[in-house]
Amino acid sequence: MNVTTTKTNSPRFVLDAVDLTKHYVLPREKMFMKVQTIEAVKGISFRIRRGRSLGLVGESGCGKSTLARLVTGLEDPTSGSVRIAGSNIHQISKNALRKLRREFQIVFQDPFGSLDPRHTIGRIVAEPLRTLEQVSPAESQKRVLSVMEDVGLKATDIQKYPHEFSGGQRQRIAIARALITRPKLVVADEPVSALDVSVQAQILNLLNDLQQEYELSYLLISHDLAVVECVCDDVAVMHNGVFVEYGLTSELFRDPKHDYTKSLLDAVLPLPGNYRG
Amino acid sequence: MTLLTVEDLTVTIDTIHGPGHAVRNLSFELMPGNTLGIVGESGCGKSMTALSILGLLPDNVTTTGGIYFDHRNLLTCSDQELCQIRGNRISMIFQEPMTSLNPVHTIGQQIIEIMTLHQGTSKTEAKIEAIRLLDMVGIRDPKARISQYPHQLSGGQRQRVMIAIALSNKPDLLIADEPTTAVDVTIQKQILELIRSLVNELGMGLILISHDLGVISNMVDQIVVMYGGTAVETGTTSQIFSNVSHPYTQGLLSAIPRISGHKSLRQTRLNTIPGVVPELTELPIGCTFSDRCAIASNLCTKTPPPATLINVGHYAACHHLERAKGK
Amino acid sequence: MSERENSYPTGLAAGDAAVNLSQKSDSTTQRELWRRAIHHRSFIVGGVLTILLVMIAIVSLFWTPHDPTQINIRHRLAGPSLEHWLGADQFGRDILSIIMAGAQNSIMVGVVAVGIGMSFGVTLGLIAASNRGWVEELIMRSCDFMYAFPAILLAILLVATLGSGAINAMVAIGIFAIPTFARLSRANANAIWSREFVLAARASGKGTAQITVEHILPNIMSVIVVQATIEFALAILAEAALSYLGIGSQPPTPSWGRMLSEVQTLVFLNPWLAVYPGAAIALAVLGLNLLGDGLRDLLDPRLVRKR
Repeated sequence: MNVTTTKTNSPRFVLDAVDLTKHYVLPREKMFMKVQTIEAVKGISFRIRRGRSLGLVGESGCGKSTLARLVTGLEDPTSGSVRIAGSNIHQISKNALRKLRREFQIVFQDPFGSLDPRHTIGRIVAEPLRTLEQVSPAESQKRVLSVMEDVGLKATDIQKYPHEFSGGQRQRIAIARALITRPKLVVADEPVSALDVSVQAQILNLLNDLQQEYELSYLLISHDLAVVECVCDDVAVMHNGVFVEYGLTSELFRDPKHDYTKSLLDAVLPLPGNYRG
Repeated sequence: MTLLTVEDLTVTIDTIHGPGHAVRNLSFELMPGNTLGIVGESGCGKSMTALSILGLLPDNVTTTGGIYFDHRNLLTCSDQELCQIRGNRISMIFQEPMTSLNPVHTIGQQIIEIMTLHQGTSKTEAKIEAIRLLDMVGIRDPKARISQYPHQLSGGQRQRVMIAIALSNKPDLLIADEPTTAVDVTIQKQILELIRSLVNELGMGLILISHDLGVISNMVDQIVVMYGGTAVETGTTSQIFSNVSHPYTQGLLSAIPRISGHKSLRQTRLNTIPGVVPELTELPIGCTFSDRCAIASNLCTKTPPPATLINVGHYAACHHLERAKGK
Repeated sequence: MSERENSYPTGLAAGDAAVNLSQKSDSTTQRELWRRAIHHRSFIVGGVLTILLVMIAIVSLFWTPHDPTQINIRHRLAGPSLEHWLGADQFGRDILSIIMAGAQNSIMVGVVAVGIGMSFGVTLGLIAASNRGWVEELIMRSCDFMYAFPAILLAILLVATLGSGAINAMVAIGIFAIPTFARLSRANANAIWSREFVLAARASGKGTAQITVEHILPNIMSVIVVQATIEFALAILAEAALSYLGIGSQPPTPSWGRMLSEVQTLVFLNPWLAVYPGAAIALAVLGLNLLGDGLRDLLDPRLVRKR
């Protein structure tokens, strides 16, 4: 399925994935058995324009996390290509890829596991800067403090360690880390699933604010349709390694066409009287 | 004649940083065949409450108050007496079916042993009953499945097995602690429907614990909303949703993102509850919600609010319900 | 891209929910750790015994009641007295002095053996964990190979080839500690590799070597340290065995193991001659094992509070 986001006044695509496929070979169970392969992603293509966000919904095992790893260069595709800001990330040199990583970053699901417990927050947030850009320690410090302020953390938090923060605060740290190189694309893999509802709301508001302020594009992966509607302009529904439906968030949820999308929407438990608060 | 009465339950954890007040003065009642939901975010004490009913709390925890079941206070029962109740009169299912099932025993073994333990059924009879139970919970081809191991089943199927085990001795009360949090949304729907139909069919009482208001509101008749170890609002589902009274419940409901399908919600901000849940060892002295509440006053920080009657059976623990109503 | 980065993901490792306790983190955590430590029996007893061992060795560098190699036939097999607190051996040498000086030997063995085992073993284990594929296979099969042979026998072989002597024995023992550290490091490193913060580091553009040094190594240190105390004890035992067989430290260097072999024929005359070195070995090994046990409990990452 070839899909394109539709903002009309942006010149370039932040992300351009063409015919992505990923097969995994499973370890042999029996000595003489034919090796089995899992087709995690089967020929997916999509594009994200600068400043627009795409939500990716699907249940476990649909291949969305694999897709996220392919798109961020953490894994090689079996076939297909991924272009970020014009360059094919799997074909450029290691050095060039490193430079390119400034343009895209990832926020992971687990606020407890995605931060190294033995590093201070300051070091964690500055990490991408250290690896990907040459900045002086003074400049690095300045940028760390600035991005921490953007996400609502205090300057005094720099010396602390991850275990001193709550889940929501750690997600803020992870977001700060993702933003420090001023990327154009942030891939967020279930960024709020592990958080309580009230904290989730804070983080979603933060994501929205940052998107407006920095003209960011998100590739937001979630199993929660409401979360996706909150942050993304467009949504793709993934099932068994393919996109079964794609469109504007508001339209798709109002009027789903594919059976699987319908079953997903059907499974969402409504609050009584569609409580609006 | 109530099935379960919880009276003034207080659970305190002994930590290095001082006592952690996991649950404070919690009271509620459940009639036979009725359903009750305990809803709240992490650290509110809902799991602790569930574990205290069956006496499954760790050693560094003290409990006071009363949990009355079948004319007995479960908190004062001996371990032996509790063992007779667990899995038999009161059953519990947990969030993570992979870790709740023994990976080295077959499904069949795990169901059968519960029956032979409490009812003394013979193995052959128990096996027939186990097959029937697996069928009842919607496992296809139960005769084959009975000799399979947990890892050979999917997450949803394992949760069904857990339900089968829990219901094998036809308990009077089923406690379900976040039973669908670890499964996909389509499976969640099936599991919840299964639980509801079985509860109706067998006339059991149900206590459902969840952080998900959507799940709770679709499954139970009574709700207890917990925050920081105390019940901030209790009432029937329809009462609470038609007349949300406590500031925390209000904040919680407005913080939930919902699918509208009407316009792009990117322009709308979610209402958030500022701040974070305090540590159990550092709870405010007065109302547990006072440090995050928009309408908190001096009184709130000093005195715990009493459960104020709003309607028959609908209570909220707040000093300023009028102000909260106005919001 | 290396094999490591392309294998089928197995999801979050168990333990992602708990957080590793950082010993170098803020002062409250250090105080917490210390408070737990002083209430932990194994740790205290083990710690005391180990410190005792070390202190005796240090003291004996400067002073012993008598020169441990001084022969004094007049006092041959003397019982305990004011002059010889534990008595004298068959050559009239003061037993207490020999025991004290023997501690030096034991400590040295531990340090050399653990030093070799840890530096090579942990390096190999980390390399294996970061380079899945044939490199890992090669390293692990070599370790399997080494495990398959009885260590003492091979130590004997090695020493027989290289010649007897304390240093050779220590090196031989160290070599056989390598597979243990390699396996342990690899297993724990694998668990850390699958954690999300490592994925985040890769996403930041860090290379394998940098990740290994900055993220993997610090997070496996607590396990390695515990193993080191246990290997230390095993090294002492192994050296005692080799010295007993006559291929470890040579006379006149005092050694507990050699003491035991020297008194074999005399043990019916005076059983205490065997008790002293035996007890010294046993207490040293016990102390180190208890210390290791205690450290394992205290540094267990699952016992850290989770928010």
